[in-house]
Parts: sequence; C-alpha cells; structure tokens
Amino acid sequence: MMRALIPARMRKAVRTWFDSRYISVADHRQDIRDALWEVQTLRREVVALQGEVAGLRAAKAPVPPAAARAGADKARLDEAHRLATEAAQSLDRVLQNEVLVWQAIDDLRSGNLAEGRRA
Amino acid sequence: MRASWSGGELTFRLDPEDELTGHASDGHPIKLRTNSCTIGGIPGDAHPDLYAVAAWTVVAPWTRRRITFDRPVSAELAGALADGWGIEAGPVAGPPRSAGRTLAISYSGGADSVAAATMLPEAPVVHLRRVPHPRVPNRWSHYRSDILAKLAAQTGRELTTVTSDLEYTLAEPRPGYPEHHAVAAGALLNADRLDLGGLAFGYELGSRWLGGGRYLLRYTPDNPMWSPHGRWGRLFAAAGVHIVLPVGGVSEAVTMRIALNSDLKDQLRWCLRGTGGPCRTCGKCLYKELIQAAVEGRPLDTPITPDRPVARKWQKPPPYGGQEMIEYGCARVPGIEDTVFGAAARHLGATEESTRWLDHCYPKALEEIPEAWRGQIERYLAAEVGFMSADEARRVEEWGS
Repeated sequence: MMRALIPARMRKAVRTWFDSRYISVADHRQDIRDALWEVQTLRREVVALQGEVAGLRAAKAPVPPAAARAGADKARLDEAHRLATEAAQSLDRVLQNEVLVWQAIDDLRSGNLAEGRRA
Repeated sequence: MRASWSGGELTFRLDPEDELTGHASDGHPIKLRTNSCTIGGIPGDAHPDLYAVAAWTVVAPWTRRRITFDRPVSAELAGALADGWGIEAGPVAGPPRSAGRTLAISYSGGADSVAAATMLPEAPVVHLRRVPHPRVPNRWSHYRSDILAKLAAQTGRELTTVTSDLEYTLAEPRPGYPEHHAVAAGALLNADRLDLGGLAFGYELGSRWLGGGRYLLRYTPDNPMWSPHGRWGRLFAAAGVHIVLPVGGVSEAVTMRIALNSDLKDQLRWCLRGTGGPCRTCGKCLYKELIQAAVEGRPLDTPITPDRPVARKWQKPPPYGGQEMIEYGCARVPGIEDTVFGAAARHLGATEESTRWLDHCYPKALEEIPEAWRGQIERYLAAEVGFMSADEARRVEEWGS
C-alpha cells in the first residue's frame, strides 16, 4: 500500500466535496426522529379511529333475537285481526240497524204507529 | 216483507212483524246482516214468478206473514207460498210460467255435481260465483270462488256463470245461503233464456233421505228442502223449474266413484280454499279424503292430526253429520284405527257388509225424477251403479231408528 502526502487544502476540498454529497449524521438523526414522530402520530390516529369504529358499532341498535321479533309481529297481527273483526261486527250492527230503521219508517208512513197511539 | 228488483239488485224491506232472526228450512238459526244483494249475469226480462222465487230464496227466513213483490205473481205461485209457508203473497195477476224443456245442472264443481253432470252429458250447467258485497268487508277471502269459476269454465260444457253477493246478507253463522235454494237464484232468473223445465242439484242420498248434515240420523221422505212434494219442491214446480236430484238415490261414495272416473275429473274440486289443488287441511278435505280413500281402497293420506280443530269432532262419540259415509269409510280404509278417524271407527264398529247398501241406488229416489229425464238417469244408474235390494232399501228407511 502506498501512502502519499496530500496537501491540507486539497484534502479539505475533497472532504467538502464528499460532505456535500452525503447527509450528515446530525441530519440522519433528525430524519429518524421525524420518522419516529410520524409513526407515533399515525399510531395515535389509528387508535382514535379504532375507538371511533368501536363507538359506532356500540351505537348501532341492538338486534333483537328472532323469537322476540316474531312475538312482536304476532302481537301486531293479532291487533290487526281484532280491529278487523270488531270493525266488521260493528258494521254488521250498523247495517242491521239500518234495516230496522227502514222498518220503523215504513211503519210510520203506513200510519200504524199513529193508530196504535190513538188506540 | 217487500221485495223489489232493480236490474239484478234485490232490495227488501221488513214489515212490522218481520225480524232479523229466523231459521233456514233445515231448522238452523240464522241472522240477517243487510237487506240488499245483486245477481249478475242474468237477463232483464224473466217471468215475474222467477223473480219472486229467486227473491224468496233470500228473504224466506225473515218473513213472518206476508210478502209484497214489485211485480204481480201468478195465483199458482202465490198458492205455493200460502200452502208451503202460510205466507200471503201479492200482488196476484197474470198467468204462471209454463215449464220449459231443458234440464240444467246447478254446478259447484264438487264430486256430487260433477257426478250429476256426468250422468247428463248434454245438460247445460249453471255456476253461481260468490263475489264480495259492496257494503260488507270481506273477511272470507280464503274462499276461492274465482278458482271454482275457472274450473267450471274449463269443463267445456255449455256454461252460464252468474255472480252474486247474496251470501253476505247473512250475518250469522257466517256468509252463506239464507236458504239452501239460494244457490239456484241465478239459474232461476236465467230459466226463460235457457228454456228450463228442471234444475238438477247435486244433493245425494244423505242430504235427501238421511237427514243431511244439520239434522242427524233421521229418515226424511218428506224432506222440506228437496222432496218434490215438499214446500220448496212445489214452489219451484209452480215456477216451471222442477227440482231434480239425479244423484238423490246414491251415497257420496258412489258420486265420488263416478266423479273420479268422469271426463270432468280434472276439473273436480270440493275444496273452497285450495288454489293449485285441494288445500288438504280443511274439514271438508278431511271428510272427502276419507271417502276417496275408501273408494280407492287405500290408506288415509292426510297431514291432519287428531289434535287439530278440524279433527276434533271425530274424537267424540257419534252422531256425526254425514255419519253413513263415516261408517262407509271406517269400514274400508286400511289402518283406519291409527288415523284421526280411529276413535270414530271404534264407536261405529261398521263393516263392509254393514255399509254395502251405500254402494247402490235407493229406487224411490228415481220415482221423484220427472218423467222427461228419468229414463236417461235410470239407464245410467242401472248400468254403472245398480239398485238396492229390498233389504238394502230398508237400511235407508230405518236409518236412525
């Protein structure tokens, strides 16, 4: 191996040239610190998002079991059936009363009731 | 009672003595809902006596003393109402309707009317289709009258379909005919157009001679509904439309056998509920399945279990409606003791021998058929069914005693 003495000025110039092409250790340290900070920020954001998802999941209405749903449907159906039956029965009575009202009107027209009162 | 027609719409008003409650001719208590109904598919110029009889099939149960029609009836028709019911009918004027030459069939599509139609292949058929009443909420939409009308149309027979909501005039027990004869209201109003002299019903041995479904276990030679000399028979005859029962002398086993072997078997339907076929779950399907299984000599095929409401009455001891057919079925269906009819079979203890009379025709039924049509029906029955011996006929006459 051959050693040669290089003038200090030239050595400095070469070193400066090299240094201009490579990032300094200090800058590397800073970059790593920045990257680490970014990762930690992202982690915090992911944690926050996970919390939000869990919150949304929890906020959704609880799904009732099938049996409870069927029970509610049956109650609604029974209620509709009751209403339909009672409404129809009430209407029957209205229709029957109409027949009786006409019977009474016709009776009045024919004068039976007036005669009955006089008698 | 005052009855008036506007086109096909019948409106009736109660006289002071009339009531909302009454009894059908078979004694069943019934209740009126409303006083109007409409019959569609009829001509506008029928004989006044036809209008009167059609109206009477709807208003008879509510009428106590007299009926006033909106057009005069013949003295003969008024006489039939007076003799049969003690009802004074008027106004009276004009000649009675003379009977026509044609026998039509009141056709539902069930086994009995299919059997009647099979015996009389030339006869036109009249089908009454139930339609909703504009004043009554229809809570009986499971009654598929549309399906029955479609099947009737597929028979290829000369068909008259009349529509009617008259069954909704009945509030209790449920929509139905105020009198069984109301099924003929549309046929009556078409009688002039079809030149009718008779109307054939699918009422069979049980309904005509054995008391039918509502009054049980009684020989009924003077059946008020279906005997020709009964009040309804005389009333229809007065309007020139004789009541004819081509299957009046044979049981439902015979009508089932005739119907299943008929050209009309693909249109055969006794169930009022099914759409693509019989529903198999109603009481009528269960009863008819017993008869069909007996006729075909096979085990009962039904999804109905003894705990179902429709099977409940068969867990109790007799009497039953249509009991002769329950006996017939229980005696013939293999493995009956393990079915819903097991309890009934044990109570009845019927055998093939004890129910053989139900395979033949009761000869007296034939005598009731007007001469014009008796020959054809007699020839069919002689060839395909055969008549009861004297001993067998005695089984009919001692029924329930």
